[in-house]
Amino acid sequence: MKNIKISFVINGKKEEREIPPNISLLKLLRDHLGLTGTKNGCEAGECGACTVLLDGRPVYACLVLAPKVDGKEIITIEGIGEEGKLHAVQKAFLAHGAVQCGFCTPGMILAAKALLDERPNPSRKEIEDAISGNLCRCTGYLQIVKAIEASGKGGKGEV
Amino acid sequence: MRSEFAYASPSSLGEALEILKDFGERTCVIAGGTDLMIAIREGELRAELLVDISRIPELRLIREEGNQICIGPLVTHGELASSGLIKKGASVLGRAANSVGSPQIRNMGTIGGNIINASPAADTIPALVVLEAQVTLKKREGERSLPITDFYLGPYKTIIGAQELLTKITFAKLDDTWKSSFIKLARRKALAISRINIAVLAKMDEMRAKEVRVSIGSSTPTPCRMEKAEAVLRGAVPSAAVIEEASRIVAEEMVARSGVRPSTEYKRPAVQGLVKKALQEAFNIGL
Repeated sequence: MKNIKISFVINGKKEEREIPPNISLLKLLRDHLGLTGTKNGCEAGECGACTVLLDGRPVYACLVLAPKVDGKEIITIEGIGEEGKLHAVQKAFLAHGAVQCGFCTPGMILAAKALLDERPNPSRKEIEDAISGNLCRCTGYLQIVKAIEASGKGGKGEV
Repeated sequence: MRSEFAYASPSSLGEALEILKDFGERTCVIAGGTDLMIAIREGELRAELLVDISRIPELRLIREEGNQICIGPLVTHGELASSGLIKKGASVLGRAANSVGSPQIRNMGTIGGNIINASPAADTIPALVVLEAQVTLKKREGERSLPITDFYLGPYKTIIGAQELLTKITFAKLDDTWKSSFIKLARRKALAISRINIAVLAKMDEMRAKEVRVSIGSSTPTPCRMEKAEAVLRGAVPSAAVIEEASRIVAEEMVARSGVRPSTEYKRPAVQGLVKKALQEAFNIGL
C-alpha cells in the first residue's frame, strides 16, 4: 500500500506526515504524533472517548479517515489551555468532580468546548444534547453537566 | 487486519467520474466515512481504490431551484438539521437528520452516505420517501434520475452502477399547508440504531387531509409508502377513530411486507402505537 503525504494544523502547529491511507485520525494522533490524550475507547464511533475538533467541530477521530484531514485544522485535548494553565472547562471539571476514571474526560471536554465556542451560555438541554455522543460510566453525567454549565456562565469555570 | 487500498481524492466531479469510469468495480466511494471506517477497520472493505469525494465543492450544497430543494450528497446530517431552507421547506428531513447517531456522527456523516449505504434503519430515508425525493446518478456518459423508492433492491443493496456517483437529491419544497412528523424508536436517544422510524407528511385543506404520505423505516425490506393507510386518511377529517384505523392498517402492511417473524408479536403493536403517535403529532390532535 502506497503512503500518501498530508499536511494539517494540529493544535495550532503546522505538520506534514507520510501515512498509509487506511489509518484513522485516531491512529494518526496517537501513534504518529504521540498525542495520547485522545483516548481509544470502542474504535467504532459509539463511545466518544476519541472526540476531537476538526475545523472547530466535534468528530470521532476513530471514524475519520486520516487522509481526510489534509489541509484541515485539528484540536485535541493537548491543544486547549496552556502549559501550567488549564482551560476554563478543564478547571470546571475539576471543581465539580466531573472526572472519575478520566477516560471519557478529554472527549467530554472537547465536546463541551465546541458547544461553548458556539453558545457561550448554553441551556441544560443544549449541554445534554452536546454531550449525547459521549459516554461516561462513572459520574452519572450530572457533575459533567454542572461543570459545563458553570464554565458557560462565568466563563471562568468557577464553582 | 485493516483493509488496504490506494487512495484518490478528486477535486472535481469530472475527475471523480473519470476515475470511476476507469476503475469501476475496483473502487469504493467514501464521503463522510462514518459507516465505511468500521468496514475498513474490520478488513471488510474489498476495494483496490478508495475514492474520497469529500473535496468536490459542488456536491456540498443545499440550494433552491424554483420550487425544488436540491441537496448535494456531501451535505452532513448536522448541516441538514440546522439549514433554514430545510427547516422551512422540508422540516421532516431536518428532524430525521437530527436523529442520526450523535453530534459527532452528524458532523461527518452525509445524506449521500445514508442513502447509498442502504441500511434498512437509515433515518433520512423514510423522510426522503414521503418527500417523494428523486436521486440523480451520474457517470461520465450521462445521468439518470429516479424516485428514491426505485433505488433500493433490498437491505444494503441498491441499483447504483460501479461507474455512477450520486450527485444530487431533489424534491418539491413544501408550503405551510403541509404538516409533518418524524418519530424514531431506538434503545437510547443518542448513538443507537433505529428499531423503527416513521415519517408522515399531510397536506391540509382547512380541516381535511387532502393528501397523506406515510413511510416507516427499519421494518420493511425496502423503503416504501404505506399506501393502504394513506388511502384511508386521504380526504378524511383526522379524528381519533381514523388515526386508530390507519395505524392498524400500517401495522398490517408492515407484517405483509416483511413476513411474520419472531419479532412480529411486539413489532406489530409497537408500529401501530408509533404510527398513531406520529399521525397525532402531524395532525396536532389528541396529544
